This record gives sequence, C-alpha cells and structure tokens, in this order.
Amino acid sequence: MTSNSNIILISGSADLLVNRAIKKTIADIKKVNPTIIINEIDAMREDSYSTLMDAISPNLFGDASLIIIDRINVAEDNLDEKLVQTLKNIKDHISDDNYLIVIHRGGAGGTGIVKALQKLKIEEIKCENIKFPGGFIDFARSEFKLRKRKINEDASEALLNAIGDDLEGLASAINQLCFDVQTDPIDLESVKKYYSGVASVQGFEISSALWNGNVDLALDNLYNLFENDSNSGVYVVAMMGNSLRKLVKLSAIPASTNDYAIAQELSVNPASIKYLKMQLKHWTPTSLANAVVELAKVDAYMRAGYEGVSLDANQKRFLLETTIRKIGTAAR
Amino acid sequence: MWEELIGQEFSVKTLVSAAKDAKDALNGKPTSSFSQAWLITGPPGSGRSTAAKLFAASLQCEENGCGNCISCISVLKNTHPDVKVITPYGLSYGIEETKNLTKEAAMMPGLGIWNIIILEDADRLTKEAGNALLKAIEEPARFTMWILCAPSSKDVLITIKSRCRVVSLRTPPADEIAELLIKRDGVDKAMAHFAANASLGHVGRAKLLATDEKVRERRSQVLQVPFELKDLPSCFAAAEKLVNAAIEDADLQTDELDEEELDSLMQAYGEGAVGITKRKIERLASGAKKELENSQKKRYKRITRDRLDLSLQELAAFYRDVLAIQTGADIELFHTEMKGSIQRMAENTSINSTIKKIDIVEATRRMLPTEAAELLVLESMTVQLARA
Ligand SMILES: [Zn+2]
Repeated sequence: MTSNSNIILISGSADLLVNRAIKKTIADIKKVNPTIIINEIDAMREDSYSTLMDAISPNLFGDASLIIIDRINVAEDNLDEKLVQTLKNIKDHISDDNYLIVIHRGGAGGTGIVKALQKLKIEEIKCENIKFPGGFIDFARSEFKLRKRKINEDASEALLNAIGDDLEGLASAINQLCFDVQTDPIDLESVKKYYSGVASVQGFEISSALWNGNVDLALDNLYNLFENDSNSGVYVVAMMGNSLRKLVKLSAIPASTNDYAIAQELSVNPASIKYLKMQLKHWTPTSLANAVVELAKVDAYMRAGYEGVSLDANQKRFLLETTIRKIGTAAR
Repeated sequence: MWEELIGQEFSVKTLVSAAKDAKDALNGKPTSSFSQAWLITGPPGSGRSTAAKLFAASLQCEENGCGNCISCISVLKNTHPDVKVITPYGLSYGIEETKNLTKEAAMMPGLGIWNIIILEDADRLTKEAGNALLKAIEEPARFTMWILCAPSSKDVLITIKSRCRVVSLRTPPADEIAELLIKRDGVDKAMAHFAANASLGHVGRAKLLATDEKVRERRSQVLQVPFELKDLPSCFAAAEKLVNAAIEDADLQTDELDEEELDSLMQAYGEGAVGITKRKIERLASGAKKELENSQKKRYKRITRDRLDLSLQELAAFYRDVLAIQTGADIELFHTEMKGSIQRMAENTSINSTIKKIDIVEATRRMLPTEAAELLVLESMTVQLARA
C-alpha cells in the first residue's frame, strides 16, 4: 500500500480501456466503502473548481466521498487555474477517508498535474494503447478468454476484418458473439452469419475465395452479397485489391524470412501468413499483374459508369462476375 | 495590373475591352461583346483564377481596371463585398451549394458596379447542380456577372457552356514564366529557367519548384519511376511512392492554410478578446469547427488528387522527351536535367513502346477524376507501363 493510495491516477488514450479501469477502480473502492458518495467532475466545465471544493469539504453525515475528475488532459491554460493548482497540491485539500480518481485521456496536455501527482506517490493505473492490427488480435484473444470462450483463427480474422480499427466496436462485437453463438469454439460460419449484412465480411469472403483460386465460391458469395446489399461493389473491389497488394508484397519477400517478420512487413496477423502463402501458390506474377489491371478497370466502372452511363446493381454484379471469372481462370 | 497574367496577350485584350463594353451596356449603349456570363478556360496553372480576378477588378473599376483605386485593390485582395469567389472543395459541386449560390447571384451589388460571382472549377459541377445554375446564368439579374473557370470548355456541361462567352488561356511559355520568377520572386536565373521548364507551364508550380527544395526532391523521385519498373513488386512500390509524394505535397500546401483558417475562425468566436475564456470559445465554436474541418478534408482530398495528376503529367512529359529523342525532333526537353538518362531510355526502347506508354499515362489521368481508388489505378498504370 502506498502512502497516498486514496488518490488514483488513470491514464491512457484508448477510451474503452480507460473507462474499464475507472469502472474497476470504483467497484474496488465500493467494496470497502459501500455507502461512499460519488461525484463526477468534468475538468473542462466552468464550475469544475467549485464542484471539486464542495465535494472535498466534509459533509453533514460524515460520509466519505469518491471524486472523479475526468479529462485533465486538455491544455492546462484551458482549465481553471484554481483547479489546476488545487490538483497539483491535492494532498493539502483532501482528507484520507475521501477518494480521488484523476483521469488523463492521453495527449500532451495536463502533464503538469500528472507530474505533481506522481511526486505524491499515488496509485497510478496506465492503460497501454492498443495498435491496429497486432494489438487488436491480442485484445480479441484476451476478450474471448475472459469470457471463457474460444474462436477459430479464420473466424477471428474475419471478425477483425469486419470491424476494422475500432476497439470499442470490436469489444461490443465480441460481447454479442459470445452471448449469441452457442458453438464452441466460435467458427467462421457463425461470424459470417452474424455479420451477413456487413459488406466487409462478405467482401473478405469473396476476396479470399478468389485468391484461393475458388471462383465458384467467390461468385456464390458475390451473389449473396448483392442480395443483401447491392451498393457494395466498390467495397468488394477494394478488398480484392488489398489482398492482391499483400500477395504481391509477399512475393517479393525472401522465402527464408520468418512469419512474424513477414507479418510485420505486411501488417497482418502472423497466423494469416500461412494462408497468404497458400494463396500465392495459385498465382504467377503475370496473372497478378493482369488482375490489378482488371480490378482498376472494374473499379472505375463501378464508380463512374460504363462509357458515361451509370450502372444499376445487376450490371455492376455482372461486371464484377466477369472480372472475377477473368482473373480466376489464371489460377493454378 | 495585368502583368501577372503572363503569355496571354490576346485574352487580356478581349477581357479589357469586355469590361469597357459592360459599362457601355449598363449605360444603354449598343455593344458587340457584352455578356453576363463568361467562361475562362486554360490548362492548370495557366492563370484562370488570376484572369478571373483581374477581369472582376476591371468590371468594378471606374477606369476599367486601373489597379490602384480602392475598388481594384479590394478585388485583388479578395475583400470586395461584391466579388464572390466560389471554390468547390469537394470533388464535385453539389445541388445544395448551387441553390445557395443562385440566391446570392440574385442580389444587388452593394458598393460595386456589378455583383460578380467567380465560380472556380466549373468542371466540378454535377449535372444536377449545373441544371440548377442554368436559369440563373441564362437570365441573370440586371447587375449580376458570372465568371466561370475550367481547364477546358469540353469539361463543362454543354448546357452551361452554350450560355457563356469563352475566353481561352494558353499554356504560358517557359521563358515568360522564368522572367516572372526572376522579377517577382527574386529567383536566380538558372533556377528560374529550370523551374519554368519543369513546371510544364504551371505558374504556381514553377514558383514552388524554384523555392522549395522538398518539392524539387519529390519531383525527381516521381521521375525515377520509369527506371524502377522492373518486376511486379517494384511496380506496386512505385505506385505507392507516387501516391505518397502527392500526399506529402498536399500536406505542405494545406497544413498552413488549415491552421490559418482555424485561427481566423477562433478569432471570429472571440479568441483573444477580453473577458472570455478559452473553454467558452471552444464550446461555442465547436459546430463551426467541425464544419471547417470537413471542408478542409474535402479540399485535402482534392489537392492530393491534383498533385497526383501533376505527377502523371510529369511522367507523360518524360515519355514525350524520350519520344522526341527517338524521332529526332528538335525541341527543348521538358526535363532537360535528365537528358542523359532520357537518352539511354530512348536507345533501349522502341518508338512504339514509348507511344503506348504515353497513352497509358494519359488514360490513367482520365481515370483519376472519377473518384477511383488512387492506389489501384496507379498500380494498374505501373504494371501496364512495365509491359509496354
Ligand atoms: Zn481601379
């Protein structure tokens, strides 16, 4: 136990993680102090200083207070000077039976307060930022583990592809999936079913079927996608282009390179390198070169129309179908 | 006042006499060249916006463009209340914006002689927007003057074009650009000559090339591309390099602008004034700030696209240089400083292949304004170039 453990600093730039840390800290404090009064203060508010002073002062019934000061990371001169000074010297103002949680949500602002607090040897909880995609993969893994669930590698990748660079979206998707899907481990089929409206998952499906050399499956998926969402042609092309780009980059990397180094180079999940290597076997440089020219062409048609005439959903699907067939015939 | 518009003697004459005629027409005298809708065309960098502004000044000036009176100066400084310059920041100009514009166009001038609307990049009007604008241009209010600008008249909706008098600017000759750089910007002779030549007739670009080493560096990076297309991965890497160079140029161009605009927005909301806290201003301005950021994002996208097009023009010019050597044409090269390597490429490739390459680059340029995915389009280009 540190000397000033009634003061807690929580810092980090990922809101999701910071919010979780806050929740957990409050719960821990409440375990010891069930009747504690909680005051939440936004440091940006004009009345933040007076609210803080009210909360700190002893109340009528002698109940302890938990004061939460959020967003001290805005530039210091944007905060009330009196608030800043009080926080920097908080030990002189707060009694030992009151609790204070100070929240710094990332960035360069508010470092003066942070440093002053650190000198007081307070509790500090640092929420490390999570980088896309590598960190997201680990994050997803730990989320599933937390819920005592497992997910297959391909399903996890499809999920990450569907959600993208959105940690909160990922967390809530995982929560939902664990709640709704009974099969364990959670498989690709379930993720797909779950996100059947989401173009990105189907776009990913179409793209990986094509690069696996499975034209029929790619076309089936394309058909399904257009049933659900006829506006996603451009998205499908983008997905195919992304994968193609990875395959081309992979083709330039010496065979002896280890999968982790390759994953870094391509910024993908290390587990999917095996998969990409398998895909690459289906293609020659010539067939990939032809493919990129075809993709650029069909992308332009999707966006600008064919010879000046904009296309309806059926025409778009037909063009995509033709492109996929054309690219696919070159697969080995 | 007109000296900034270089190499356009003929168009200058037309616009100067049009300004006189416009005044005569207001006074009821019959004139030959009176029109209330003008379309100024010319390749990027030839000075369309400058021409439009100078024309507007001439229209508002009692002496048809003296360059010294309050009216002239305020038009040139963009502060004249009766000269509105509209620059569509999106990739195309939508119907909502156009409707507002037609309302503005119906107003009476406050101080000036005319209520002048300058619409830059009229080629970015959507069809719907163009139609919404049509009536306002066809039957303008008595004191309203439209000045539209576009790269070429074939880029403008035909319905709009047919209602305008067209003034075409040409690509300004390199030696005149060089002279301007020397006189106006104090650039030394050798650098001015290089920059003027390398700018492909783009006056603003010439200044950047003459004054910013990073811009020169990126240009020579772009011009390395023809030598780098050896296999599929190198084609993809070259495409990525082109996109990144465009992004860096756009960053350079917009960062400063963005900050200035934000500053003046915050000032408008009372920053620096007595008795108001920064927090209060932040809160008050947050809506307008978001809007500004949105339009800045759109502009950024557009400038990136424009820079990319410029890189493609430079590449096309490179292959034209190769072709010039291959066919023994006696003309000055665009990229004189690369003469050695151009010569080598000319010897090692066929005329046929060079012509194909020029076609590929030009076709790629035509694909870009369609909001296509840049990287994909450029990858397709480099792959085709490697094969041609
Ligand atoms: Zn004047």
